[in-house]
Amino acid sequence: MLNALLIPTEGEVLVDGLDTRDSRNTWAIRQRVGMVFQNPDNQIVGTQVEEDVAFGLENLGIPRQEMRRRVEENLTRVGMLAYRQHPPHLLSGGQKQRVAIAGVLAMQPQSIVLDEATSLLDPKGRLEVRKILVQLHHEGVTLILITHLMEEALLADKLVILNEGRIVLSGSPQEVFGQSEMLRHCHLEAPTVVRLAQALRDQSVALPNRILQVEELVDELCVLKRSI
Amino acid sequence: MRIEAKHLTYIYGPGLPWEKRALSDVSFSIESGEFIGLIGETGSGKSTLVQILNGLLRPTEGTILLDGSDISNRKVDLHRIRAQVGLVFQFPEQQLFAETVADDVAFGPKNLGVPKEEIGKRVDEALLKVGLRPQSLRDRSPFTLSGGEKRLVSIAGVLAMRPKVLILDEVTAGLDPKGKKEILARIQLLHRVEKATIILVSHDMDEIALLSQRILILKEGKLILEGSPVEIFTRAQDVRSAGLDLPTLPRILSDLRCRGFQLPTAIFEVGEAARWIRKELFRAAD
Amino acid sequence: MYPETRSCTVWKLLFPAEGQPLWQWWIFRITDLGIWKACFMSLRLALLVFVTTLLTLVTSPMDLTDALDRLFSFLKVLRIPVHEIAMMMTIALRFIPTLLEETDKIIKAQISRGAPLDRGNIFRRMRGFVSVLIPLFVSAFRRADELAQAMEARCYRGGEGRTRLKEMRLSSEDLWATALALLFCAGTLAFNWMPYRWL
Repeated sequence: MLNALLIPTEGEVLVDGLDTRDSRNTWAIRQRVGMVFQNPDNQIVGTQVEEDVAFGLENLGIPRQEMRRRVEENLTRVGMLAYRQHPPHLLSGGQKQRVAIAGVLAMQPQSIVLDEATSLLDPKGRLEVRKILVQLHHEGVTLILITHLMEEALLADKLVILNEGRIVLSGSPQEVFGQSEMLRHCHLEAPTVVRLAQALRDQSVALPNRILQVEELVDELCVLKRSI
Repeated sequence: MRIEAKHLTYIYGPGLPWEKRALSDVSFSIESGEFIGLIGETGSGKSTLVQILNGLLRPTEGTILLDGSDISNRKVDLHRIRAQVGLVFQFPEQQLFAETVADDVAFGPKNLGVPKEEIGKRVDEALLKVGLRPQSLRDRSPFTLSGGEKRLVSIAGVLAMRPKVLILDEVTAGLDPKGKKEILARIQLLHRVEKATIILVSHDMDEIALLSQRILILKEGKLILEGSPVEIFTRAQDVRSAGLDLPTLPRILSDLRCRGFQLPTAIFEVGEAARWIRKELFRAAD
Repeated sequence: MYPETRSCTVWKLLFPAEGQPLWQWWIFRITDLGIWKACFMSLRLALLVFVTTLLTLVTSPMDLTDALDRLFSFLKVLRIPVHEIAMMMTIALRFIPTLLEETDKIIKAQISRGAPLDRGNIFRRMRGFVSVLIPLFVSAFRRADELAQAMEARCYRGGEGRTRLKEMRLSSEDLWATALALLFCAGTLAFNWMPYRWL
């Protein structure tokens, strides 16, 4: 709905001030909001990696010279330049998703929506994609990550939890994962690290609230142990 | 059913330029009623191994004994083996094809030549085993079901053949947390109540650690680690070298142990872990 | 030699329409013209196979599709959706390996459920194939759906205003090749009009 593939029955979506209900805005909106889908096999159009990255640019009517430059630049960004001539079916799942991300990036969108883009990947592929996402976030790209993996949700600055079509929680990961009752109600669970930190705090171990990663927790506990 | 694998080797395209060794010299045994976790990276040979166990591939070298009889022998009827060792492929819902759920579940037993009167009974029994209600589902089209239900129906399709061993390849892939939990609970019931031998194949350590009694870790076609979850968790380094990672909780505990915490290895639960860590913190204080 | 070529040649050899009979038995007859035509036919078929093999070996299917798109773009005037047809070919080429892989997987899965794909009479086997074909169709449609969505999300809206990454330019080599091909065609035609007894 964010990129006008679906139009709201009621209410409105404004992308950069453009109303998605107005069909004249459709293409401008889709260029601004890129989408990466769940199944890597079903979103790659080209029979060669570079051809696929160029697909969106071809649709936008970008001149050839500029197209070459952008294809190269974005394949480098996701670390897939060496595979530019490869046929996509010989790539691993993680590599295919990285190609898909490069294809979206090449269109220079202002934000990218990733719709469970890692859910069909193996742990290695997930890690590859997450690394790229962290890097893009640092480069200032707005990312909207749709996921049901809590470890992945930790990457976000802001979390929104939907249940039965309604927003039930939103805020920073720390805020959201503190609400264990509500999460359970939505059949979700805070990541193990957060739960362990919470359990320790409940037993009056003085841990700060910000802990989200394994390393942070281990470091904090070691500091505590020394100070006691 | 007891499974014994001796020196299994499998080579794709032997003698060809693209010859690929998928398994080399893998030996293990699985006792009747055991719950085994088989884990390894993509391309570690997991799928090849389960296809050999199911009789879809014949090992290039080595033997497989099912209850003492050798199935790698060329004379053996592989169809009988496939009935005894049920294999649920990854995304099994993609193999649904019949007009009704009942017909689809009946496909396996029908192919085995089970008499008609018994097939109906087996269909209901299989659907119940996966927690679906036969009355309301039997006549529905499998394509109208939800993702999780489809997957359960396709597992029922394998169970209807009454296998003694059930192999599940990445059975929770692509499901949401609720669907995952449900399916794993069902599998645990099959193991506990039906006493089925279960081999759970996954690259997700969390899932494997939760349910398995014994874990086999494959790397590049070799069996590199084997043991109970507790044994495996004490060898974090070896697990990492196989391109895998421990589940979060054992990883935290293993890291803490490395940094001088004295904690027992057999902790599987967050509350328990918190109690031990607290105790350890205040032991240092005394 | 390919089996089709061989049977065609044998046919021409044993049932010639005309020419001087050299040998005869029952309904079979071998004539001089028959031998000539049989040789000609087998050569023609061999050449056909040879040339198409050569074409697919040296030209990627993608280039062929692109070329068709360019070459036949004049048909757009006649409202023939040339670009769409070329895009369909591209997508078909892209998905052939994916679907082959999938077919293999479905076949294995159904065999492990005892599907009679590798045994039994033809009817049993056909029933087995239904269990492979239906899932394959379902999956192909699902893929088509998702791909269409992904293409739209990347601003695909038909051939209008599209630029191409791959450049196609007529070079001097292409002109030479075309000239040579034309010459070859002309020669063949001329050769064909000559009565055989001149040879």
